[in-house]
Amino acid sequence: MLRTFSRTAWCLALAAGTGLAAQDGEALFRKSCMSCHTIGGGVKTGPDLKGVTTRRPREWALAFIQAPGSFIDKGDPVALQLLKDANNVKMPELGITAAEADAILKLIDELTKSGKVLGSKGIDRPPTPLDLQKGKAMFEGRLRFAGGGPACLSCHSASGSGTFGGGRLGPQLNAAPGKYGKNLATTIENPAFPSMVNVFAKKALTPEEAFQVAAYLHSVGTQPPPRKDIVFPIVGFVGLLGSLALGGHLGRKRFRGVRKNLVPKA
Amino acid sequence: MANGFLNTFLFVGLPYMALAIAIAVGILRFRSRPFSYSSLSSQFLENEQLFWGSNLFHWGLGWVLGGHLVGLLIPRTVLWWNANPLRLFVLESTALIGALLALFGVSALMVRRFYNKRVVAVTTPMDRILLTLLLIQILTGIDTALRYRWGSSWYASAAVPYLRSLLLFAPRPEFIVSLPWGPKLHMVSGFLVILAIPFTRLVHFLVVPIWYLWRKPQVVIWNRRTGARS
Repeated sequence: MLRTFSRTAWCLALAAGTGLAAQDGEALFRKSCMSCHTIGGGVKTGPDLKGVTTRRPREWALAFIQAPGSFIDKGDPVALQLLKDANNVKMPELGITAAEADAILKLIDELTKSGKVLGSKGIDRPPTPLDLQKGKAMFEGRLRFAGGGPACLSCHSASGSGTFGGGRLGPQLNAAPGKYGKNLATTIENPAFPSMVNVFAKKALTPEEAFQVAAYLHSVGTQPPPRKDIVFPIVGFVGLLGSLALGGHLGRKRFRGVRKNLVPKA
Repeated sequence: MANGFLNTFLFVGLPYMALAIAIAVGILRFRSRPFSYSSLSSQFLENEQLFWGSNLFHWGLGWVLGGHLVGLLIPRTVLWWNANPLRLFVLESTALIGALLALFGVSALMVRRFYNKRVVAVTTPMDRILLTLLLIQILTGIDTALRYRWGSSWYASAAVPYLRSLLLFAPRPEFIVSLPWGPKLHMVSGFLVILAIPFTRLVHFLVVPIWYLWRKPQVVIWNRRTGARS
């Protein structure tokens, strides 16, 4: 039984390690690229990728998709220009394999030839007060996302959000509008951040929801929220003291006398 | 690449290995030494530190572990509860109090096991290893709760899909490999605690005598006192 179990475990470990990702270019693009890029839909945080293989050598594009940071580190002029154009937002290391990068490039070639468009620049209208109200409610979780995704507050904070402040797993988001500008909504709609990709893979925000959350973030200003972290540990410590007092009270009639007599004889 | 293999080992290989060994060795121990399925009371040797250590550890851990299991079973309900920021704070605070109680308790138990001469005499190396593992598990949990709050929400969204994928034999470590090392260390020490179950006194939780709750009442008669009167 143990051997069978171990074999199963190691087969599964090997499968996960070697990667069983389907080489579906469109699925890969939607999962990893669409938060910042379109194919024929216009410039977002990153460039429109329509015709990218005619603008750059294919080998360069293949290598760049797999490890964009290394191109910046070695001072590649094209990579540095792209970084500048993207308002210094670095393309994240997404762990894309050579085969996956090839599938993405094939998709780009195919759509470039056919003239089809994938990805858009999102909703383009000024936000209303209702948008801001809904965006705040969704950020905090009071209004659930239609796809069932967790509220932003679980991991993030922004000025004025949550009675006791936001989460600390992810970054504080007051600076996000300045970083992503008008592309914030599409970045939220298709997050390519490693910790969010899988969580939201089947629970993506609708374009409307992403627009409203982005509108709320644009409205909160660039000042980071006052840190309310101290309240949480203080409540925990006071609760601990209260519990100790309760424990002592509940156990006040325990059989101390009987055991004290027995212990010296032990 | 090395990091990828490390993650695969820690979050796919280790949990299955720990579970397989815990089940196999647990069965072997039960068949070969059934009366060792116990926490082997040392209450007669020292009772005061045990009262504080054991009670607070079990209360605290029961609350926190119960919360983890509830999150695993009904994550959507946890997210619904957390949809109100005040309710989220209440849940997180009570969980933190439980964790601090468990920390207080395990610390008292460690002081007792490591420094009380009578108790040291009946302490095995595995007792020391188990208490150390539990201390690490509780400390990393408190660290996660404080530094990466609000854990109950992101646990339900990211860690639960990973744990469920393990239970369904279709592991998806990608849900958690991008987490910081603090929470990941909490998971790894949790798998090590599972691994330790059949080798330590921790097996006693598998034979908690809950049937006392529904068995027929028993009348206990003290023969010696009756004999003394006669």
